[in-house]
Amino acid sequence: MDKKEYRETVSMAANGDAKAFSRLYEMISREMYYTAFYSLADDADAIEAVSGTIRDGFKAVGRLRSEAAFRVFMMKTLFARIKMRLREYGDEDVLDEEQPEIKYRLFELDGVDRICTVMYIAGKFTIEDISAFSGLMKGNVKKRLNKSVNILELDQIY
Amino acid sequence: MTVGEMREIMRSRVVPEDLVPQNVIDLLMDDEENTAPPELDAFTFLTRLRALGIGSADFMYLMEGCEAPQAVVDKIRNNPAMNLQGLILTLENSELTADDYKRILYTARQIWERTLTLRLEKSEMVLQGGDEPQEDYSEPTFEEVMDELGQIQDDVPEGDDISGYEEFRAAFVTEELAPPIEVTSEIKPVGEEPEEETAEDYPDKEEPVDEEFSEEYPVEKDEVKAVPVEKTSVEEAVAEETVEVVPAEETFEDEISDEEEEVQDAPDEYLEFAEYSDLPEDDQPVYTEEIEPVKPYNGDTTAIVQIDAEMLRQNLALLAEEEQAAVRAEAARLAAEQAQQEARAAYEAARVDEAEKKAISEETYEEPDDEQTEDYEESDDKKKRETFVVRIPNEHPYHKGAIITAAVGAAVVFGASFGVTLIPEPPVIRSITYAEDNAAIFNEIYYSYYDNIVGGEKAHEPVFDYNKIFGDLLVTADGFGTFSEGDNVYTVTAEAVSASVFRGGVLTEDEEIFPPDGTRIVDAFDGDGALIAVFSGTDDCGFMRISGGKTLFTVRQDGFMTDFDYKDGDILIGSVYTPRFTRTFGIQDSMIYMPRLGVDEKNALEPQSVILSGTKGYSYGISAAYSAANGATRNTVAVLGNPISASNDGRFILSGEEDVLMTVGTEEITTVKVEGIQLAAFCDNGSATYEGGNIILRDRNGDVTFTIANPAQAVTSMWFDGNLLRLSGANGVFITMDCSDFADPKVAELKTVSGAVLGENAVIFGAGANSLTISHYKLENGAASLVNTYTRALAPELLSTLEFGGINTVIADGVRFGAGYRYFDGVSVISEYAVMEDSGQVHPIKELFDDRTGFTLAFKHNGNIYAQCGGGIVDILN
Repeated sequence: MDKKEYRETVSMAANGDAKAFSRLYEMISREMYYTAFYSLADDADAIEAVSGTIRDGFKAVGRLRSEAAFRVFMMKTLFARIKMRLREYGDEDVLDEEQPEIKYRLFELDGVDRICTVMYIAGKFTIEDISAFSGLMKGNVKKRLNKSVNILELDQIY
Repeated sequence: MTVGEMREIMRSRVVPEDLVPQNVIDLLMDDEENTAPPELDAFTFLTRLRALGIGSADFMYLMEGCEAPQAVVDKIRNNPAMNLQGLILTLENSELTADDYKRILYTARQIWERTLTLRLEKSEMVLQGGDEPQEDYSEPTFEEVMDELGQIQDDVPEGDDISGYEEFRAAFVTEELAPPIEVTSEIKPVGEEPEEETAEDYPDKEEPVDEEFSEEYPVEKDEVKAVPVEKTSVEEAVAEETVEVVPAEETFEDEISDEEEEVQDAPDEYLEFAEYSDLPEDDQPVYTEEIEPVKPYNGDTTAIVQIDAEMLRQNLALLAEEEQAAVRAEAARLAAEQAQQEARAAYEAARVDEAEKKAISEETYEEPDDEQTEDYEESDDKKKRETFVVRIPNEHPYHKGAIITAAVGAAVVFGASFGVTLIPEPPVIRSITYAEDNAAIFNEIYYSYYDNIVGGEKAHEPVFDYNKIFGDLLVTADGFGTFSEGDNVYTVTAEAVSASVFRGGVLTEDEEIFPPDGTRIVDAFDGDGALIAVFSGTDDCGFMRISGGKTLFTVRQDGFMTDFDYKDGDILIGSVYTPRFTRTFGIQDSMIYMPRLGVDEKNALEPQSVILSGTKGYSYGISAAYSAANGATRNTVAVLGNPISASNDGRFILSGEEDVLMTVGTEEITTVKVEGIQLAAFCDNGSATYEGGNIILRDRNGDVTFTIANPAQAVTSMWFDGNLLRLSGANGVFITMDCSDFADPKVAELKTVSGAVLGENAVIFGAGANSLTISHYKLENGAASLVNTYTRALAPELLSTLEFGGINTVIADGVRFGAGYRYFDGVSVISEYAVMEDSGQVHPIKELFDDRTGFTLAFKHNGNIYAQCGGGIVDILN
């Protein structure tokens, strides 16, 4: 989506055009879902987190000046929502037996580590992106990803 | 498992129907019909009061002023030990509604914003012995309750009912709150105000607030950090006493001890709101009124200000005590300094006497020739000198002064200041010599620091960007390009090298290779079968050799890069480095004060590689050569003093009482006196300096060959790109001089083009009236020589939409060249990749219609060219 098209779409979305907003959301819909699903216990939680973020985005879209700002806003909000939900989990073992195998491995990671790792691997976001979404320093994101390498037994994470 | 495999598995999951973009339209439409924000509850109400710094007395007054039920007011007042839970329950069981909460908050905010001056006046009155009646609302536990509230916000226990939906909001709450200064004010009840006014919490804001958004996140805007504009010492004393800093609320962050992170995290969540709501970040309501000088209370004000006089007196007493202590410390420091200087002067006088006597008796002392190189030969006598030791106990007043100095300057804290009792001997004769040992370097650094001369201030890092000069072409690019090596494909930007693996027709991301922290990649090229990525940052520069998708080794050198070259398999780097001292150190701590470099980890240079330049300062110019193949250090020399620039081959420009251009040869060090140098740059033919508004060119002997008088703009940065001298002013590069002939430089007329420079090849992208062109140039004797041009006819209306695919799509291997581009034909976006042999043979164009990304990168593999696009990998030649 080029700048002109983005501006037009934002303008429509800001005026309540949900269809226009859905076009903006489409740009990061998969990344958002993957981030939420693999960070949270189940589909229901993921859907709730992403839906809430979509609502927030719809309300704020008029103020987001660029596609990049939109993406950062959505992912930052999603990050915050996921963390809230994770806190509700506490120490409970929240994963049931119907989750993909890879998720059990991911849940060996601590909450924020898991979100960062999922964003990096499934969301294909860069360390800079994740730093912007999470508010963590880039070095800290790298540190967390490195930690994940051992736990997930990956060859190399970056 | 690799990241790629894991990614593939994770991304294979199907997105639920509810979240499919087309279906979220229904979600949003449903929301449109039910967008009423959640009403304020007691918890939120208290949270927001806390953010306003409302104290117990104000709270009670607000409750009464806003016509809260008397029973509630009494209950709270009569139960000073009521905890948060009790307070919330009391409020929830009262008849107070969300509107009441809003009204109280509105009033509280008005108090907060408008009574600062009154508070100040009143506090002064109290100090002057005024007998203002003290209100008796003090509920000492209220603040504790509010603290508890803060704690709960920070770490809400699982299943805590009181948090409810606020938990999400709490994620956005800024944690630094305004000081809870106790203030009350006579306020007319606002209960009769129209609903419209009270519905908007802060109608007096200058910046219009999106009501919907502020209701969705009602806490955020209130809780922005208070930043006082001006404070008196009295106010500061009060504020210091009462400020509450509440730790960030993230439970997950608790484990993170990284200080930087803590600094960033909390405000970032506030910034999130500020950034996206278009509210200015510093749109903060407190202290907006000018604080006027203290004046007598005139009785006109309607405010009743409650001041904790006792607390204020204590604070002021404390303040006065601190000020007196500071005065005492300063006096002691001055006395200590004076004693130190006297001791030093006596020592120097003794040394000079001794030197003179020696010179007279042995007739060996010669006046240094200003114009000539000074070959300083250290007398053997020096080695026999007795160490000049001044013992300073830790409790010596100077100790404190040194700490203050170090804290203010955030700089060196020397052993002598912190109780290591050796003060090194001062350098008596300042001249140019290799250091004998670490002590000689330590001495220089100590006295430069002692005299507060850091050095290196005039040194500038060149302006690194993606643009490159190729003959008379200035090729603008959007990265450093794509490199391939076997199955490995690398794309390089300033931030990182992205390594991918091409196997089975699939390009899989393998690794992101980052330069060391605090640096960025400034150049990348193919170096004998491996990718060399050169990096530079404030404190670090060097290069990484990358092969097989991994970093084989990293050569690191202290300081930021001022010069760089790659020749004959060696990488040569010049840098300027100012050590950042952060702790006490002694002579033995060479890693702290010596220049360092090495493969993978830096090691301190041997002192015998360091030249004491005679200029004062504790910065280094470093010049080193490394093998690009294994990182082995070839030649290394560093100069201690006040460097302005360091070449990659042992030439330095230093600033001192006399600026010098120093050339370190294998047999001798030569210096040439120069004057008033502001900037400097080096190339193979010589050097260029910016002196007194003129650019002076000197050959390698230091002889002036040319003067460029009064360049059109003040020069802020200069550097050589090959033999082209580029001068930058306030608005970027404003002139480029071709200095191939140092005696007769010429203005280089560079033609700015888009494309890519890949070693000795350049591919230039262009558009004519009815066609696009992709041209291949080779560098011959410094000039861009056209090899061949691919031309594709396109109608003007299509050309107007033409976009070059970027440097990552460019291929040039000396046999053929190609690039990607795209245009819009009115119906579809057409992405094409064109390849032409140097001989002129044109390969069929690969064409994509409405591909999501078009061609984003191209690479060679086993004699073929492959390009990546939104749909995957395309074999370009077949």
